[in-house]
Amino acid sequence: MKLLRIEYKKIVGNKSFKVFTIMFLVFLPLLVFLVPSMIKFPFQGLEFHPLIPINYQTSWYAVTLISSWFCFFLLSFVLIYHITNEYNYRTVRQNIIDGFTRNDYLLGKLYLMLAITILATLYVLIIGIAGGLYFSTFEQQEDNVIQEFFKLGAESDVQAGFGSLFDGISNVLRFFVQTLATFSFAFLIAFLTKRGILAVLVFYASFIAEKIARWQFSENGMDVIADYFPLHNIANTLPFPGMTSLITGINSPMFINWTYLGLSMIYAVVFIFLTRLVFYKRDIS
Amino acid sequence: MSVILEINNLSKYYGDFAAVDDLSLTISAGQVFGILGPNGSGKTTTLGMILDVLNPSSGSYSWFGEPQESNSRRRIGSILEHPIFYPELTGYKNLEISAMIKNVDRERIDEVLKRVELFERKNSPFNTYSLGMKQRLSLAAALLSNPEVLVLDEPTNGLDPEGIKQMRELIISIAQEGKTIIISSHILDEIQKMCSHYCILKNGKKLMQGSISDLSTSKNEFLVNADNLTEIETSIKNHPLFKESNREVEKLKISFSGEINGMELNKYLFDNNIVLSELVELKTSLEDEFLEIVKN
Repeated sequence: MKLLRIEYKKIVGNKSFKVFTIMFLVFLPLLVFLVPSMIKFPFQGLEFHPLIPINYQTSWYAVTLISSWFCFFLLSFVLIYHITNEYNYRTVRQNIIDGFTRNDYLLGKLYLMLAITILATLYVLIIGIAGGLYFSTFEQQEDNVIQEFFKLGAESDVQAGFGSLFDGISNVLRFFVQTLATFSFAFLIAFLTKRGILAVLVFYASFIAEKIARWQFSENGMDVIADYFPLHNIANTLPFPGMTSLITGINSPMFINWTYLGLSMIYAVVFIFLTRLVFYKRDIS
Repeated sequence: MSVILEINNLSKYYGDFAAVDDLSLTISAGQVFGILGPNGSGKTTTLGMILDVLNPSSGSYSWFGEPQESNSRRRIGSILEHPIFYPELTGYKNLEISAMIKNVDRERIDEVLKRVELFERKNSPFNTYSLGMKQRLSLAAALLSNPEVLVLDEPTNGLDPEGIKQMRELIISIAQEGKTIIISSHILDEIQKMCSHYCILKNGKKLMQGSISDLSTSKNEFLVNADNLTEIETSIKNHPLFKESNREVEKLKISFSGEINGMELNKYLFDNNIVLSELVELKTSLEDEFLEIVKN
């Protein structure tokens, strides 16, 4: 806890940390609640909101998916800048001189990463519960309205009513694992490059670079390998669906794929191990 | 005396370039040890290695006889190169972080801030401090744990004369408490004024190690002054150990070929009806030693 308290002291005075955290805390609920309720049109005598989830299953999925993108763009950025700023200000050196072992220093950062992930997950949990309660108040959840609107056939597994709060809550676990794995990758890139802008560029460019590499592998008939590339695997822990499957739940990626989930955890451990290797091998300049 | 720091065959290479080359050194408790050398001689690299921010290419060191991996650095206060702190945090908050790392009570923060005369500015952000204040905050951080050893890398670098004087007085007062201090500097006078022991580095190699008191040997040279310097010049030529004399801005510098002390010289001149208004015995300085070694 002491290491975490030290990290808290460091970030609490940092302006960019405050700005990005506030953006995450404010814009996430705005996007989750406001946007779906604003888009509407008349249908069967109702004000139909096509982006309002039709049950808890889809609600949890939508909330965790949107949140994971917020984490990817905002909180990864915060984490990268927090680490690279320490190199920029050379305070990493001062911390070691003050008496931290390299292990202490790295553990502090790891605890911070874990704390941000846990707090973001708790926040998402709250948003998810609030979102489900809010979405369930819309009248359009009637079975026949949904069936009619999406022109669903007999094979539809869409259930009448909003369902139980716990339907699809497992998406929160997927969010947690995906965020942790994404942060672990950001963690490695930050320690590797040591420069803020460079780290951010490398971090986001890595996803594009891996996509190109996957495409090359697929072209050569190695789809199976390409499917388990680390960043693709992490993204697939909570994948982006087609719009119909997002809304209807049919053929949707709303259910846990344990292979992706387990591999993401393994990749997270590998990234952290590599970070440790880099941090120990290098001089602290 | 117990050994505080033992360095054994420590080297640091950057490619083929040896920043520190096979350095061995022992520093005992209570010493004020100066590491002297021109810029690029390997002083900061040596301190960086013993403070665990640089990985040695080979060799080892141990603090207090404990293994390298131990937490012994919490018993050491250090300043390495420039003052480094979180720019947006106040001096106090920065010291809070240092205190937490060192496992020190917060009450100690105010004490050290008072000692380095920064108490009044403790709530100002670090990036509003002058260089002298930043340097003193570094010293405050180093003093937080009331360390047994202080490691100071060029502590007066970039300071104005007033700042240098303040920093020097602070270091001397800390040394008087019996703490072991390791200072690196390229300023010879600074080392001679503050240190009890020294070593000279050049191109990463140790050229010499010794005690400052050993340096204070007489050079058998004197600087004298009187109403009539010509009279002295004439008279001193008859002294059996006389070597040479030179005028140096209204004073006369006399060198002898053998041992002679100030009292004997004064008596000799007095016996020759010359009353001196000034007599200074010149001793070997660190500068002489340094220049001699570097020249060789």
